[in-house]
Amino acid sequence: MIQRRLYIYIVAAASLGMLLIGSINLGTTALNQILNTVPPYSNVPDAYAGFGAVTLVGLPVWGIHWWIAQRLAGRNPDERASAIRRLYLYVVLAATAIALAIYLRRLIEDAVGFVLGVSSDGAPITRSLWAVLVIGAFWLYHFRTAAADRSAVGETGTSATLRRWYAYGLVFLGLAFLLFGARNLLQQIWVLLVDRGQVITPGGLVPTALATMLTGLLIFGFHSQWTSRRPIIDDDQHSTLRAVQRFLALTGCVALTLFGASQLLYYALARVLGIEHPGGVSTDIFVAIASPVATLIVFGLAWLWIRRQLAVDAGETEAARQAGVRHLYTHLVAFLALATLAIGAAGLLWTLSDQVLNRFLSHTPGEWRDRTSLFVTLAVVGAPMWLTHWRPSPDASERYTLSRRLYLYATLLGSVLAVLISGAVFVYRLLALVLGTSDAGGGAPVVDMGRATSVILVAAAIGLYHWRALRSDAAARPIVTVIPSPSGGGRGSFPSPLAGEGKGGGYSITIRGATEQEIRKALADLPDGASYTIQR
Amino acid sequence: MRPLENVDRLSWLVLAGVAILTIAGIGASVLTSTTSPASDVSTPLGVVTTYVRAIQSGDADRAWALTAVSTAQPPPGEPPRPFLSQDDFRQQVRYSRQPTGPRIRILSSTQSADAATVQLEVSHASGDPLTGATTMPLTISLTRQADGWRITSDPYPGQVQ
Repeated sequence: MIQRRLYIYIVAAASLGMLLIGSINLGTTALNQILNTVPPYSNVPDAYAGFGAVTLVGLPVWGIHWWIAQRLAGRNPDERASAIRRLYLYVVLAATAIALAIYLRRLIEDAVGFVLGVSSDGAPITRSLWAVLVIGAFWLYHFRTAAADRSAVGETGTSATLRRWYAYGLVFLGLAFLLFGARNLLQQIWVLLVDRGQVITPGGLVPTALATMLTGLLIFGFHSQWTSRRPIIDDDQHSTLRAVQRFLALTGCVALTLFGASQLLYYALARVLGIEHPGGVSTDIFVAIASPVATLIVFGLAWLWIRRQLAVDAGETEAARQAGVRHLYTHLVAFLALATLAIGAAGLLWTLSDQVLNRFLSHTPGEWRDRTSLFVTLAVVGAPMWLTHWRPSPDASERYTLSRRLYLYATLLGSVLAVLISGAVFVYRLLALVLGTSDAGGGAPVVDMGRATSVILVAAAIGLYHWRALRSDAAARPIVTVIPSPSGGGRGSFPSPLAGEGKGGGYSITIRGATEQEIRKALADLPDGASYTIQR
Repeated sequence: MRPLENVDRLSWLVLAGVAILTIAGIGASVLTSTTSPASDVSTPLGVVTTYVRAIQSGDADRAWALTAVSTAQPPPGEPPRPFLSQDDFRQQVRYSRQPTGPRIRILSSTQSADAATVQLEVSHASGDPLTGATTMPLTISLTRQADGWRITSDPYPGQVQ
């Protein structure tokens, strides 16, 4: 049975690919002939022969195999519910959706370019339109087939996971198109309005950015609406993939917002220090800041938007999950901010050490103002972000979360690796100095040792601080007192202080099948003043 | 269920932002298209502007007329020099056309009695998500001839298409 399914759906997928490639290129070649435009293939009869053959072979093979697949699915509900059939459907949907996005973007780009006068050739519009129509028709057919299967026999287990991979993958892709397109468009608008230089073709990049943004909006909008409706949302509310997609998007937005803010402050600080072309930018500074300003605005707003979506998602689930999502978000931002701060601090010390040691060795020190602006900026952006998101001594509900431990161990790992690598560099240059290698005479090893020391100092300080935080967490962990029951079983007998304590007296609860941490998390929402004892 | 029934307020704001950006992008392109340099072929800058616009509109003959490329081979004994004939040039203009042209900015222009140089910055749309464009410099050399300024740099139309 499985072998038959595998055969039918693999052949169907391969022949569908042939059919799509053949029909799109046949249509494109015919359109080029009708419109008398430049064909993409130098030999038109060859193109007709090649793509005609691919279409003529692909169409009947796909038609026959798909007809067999549909007949079997109609007779047997197990066949319709099989994971191999869903794999075929969602792979075809994903492939056609990505191809559709590419051609749709091209279609919008060509059309907007034509309207704005950036392009005077209308033929690419018809070619892209043909491809969009062909791919769109096949995508829609498979989407409706998957929906019919879902309503007929349901979608659980592997089949539901396949649907989620498709849906949340496309949501992520659409969001990336939308945000990067919006960022690029905002940058181009800024450049068009601010650039006082002479430009021969000013709006050349606007159609591309606009097309990317609108394509992203369509893909993201459709798939996020589809996944937020019943019955999909009921099934996906607790899905890990849904949360992973949002957190990946959030991580990207936080990192790019920090990057944009850093770049903007760096340009500003560099200008204050009198640098004409910070970072080597050749254009006017007001044109150069278009990129960081656009990044900061678009990804900063996206950060708030996705954070809100995560809160809404968590709000529809239980309190423990809400708290988990909030903690994961806080620790993620704290980690990225700390990385920014660490690079800034280490870079600043590196620049300072370069200046001091080069002067000491009577060398000409390099340019410092540009680098100082960059590293001060990173520190200035990273420090407040880290201070507002990191809590050294939080309450018990946060202290023992997985996300906090991930943050602490990831930071420790990064610090230790930085110390190890820089330590190795330090020793290597020290040995070079002692053994008198070829470059030791000029004092180059001393400068390198100064740089390595800068990294070691910052990494060691960060590592030590977080190691102490780990120790503090361990010390604050309440000691679990094991009081064996008189019968010697696992059930604890509660000590007398519980009875009659606080409002409503004491309660004894027996919990099985949960770890101590899970019980503590569940009890974290007790009112202020309430106390509890956990006994095993 | 209506198509946009469960769109929250923030998502409506996103839609509004996309609409504003679309209108602003089209508006800024239309407004700034009127301020680009004039195609005055009596100046080096005008010749370069006309040349670029001719290539981007697919008018290979008009662009070729503004060049003064030597198609003569060097004397015997010297290695042969590759050159582009007018037919090659036409083919290149035809096949290198992109749906939308690059943004071409004039960086500087220097001129003496018989020679001139125009430095351009050509920005093509690219897959680089952080910049959305790849930028490269392009220097075009011109000489004054009896019938006006002519481009003497190797004319590769793909650079400005």
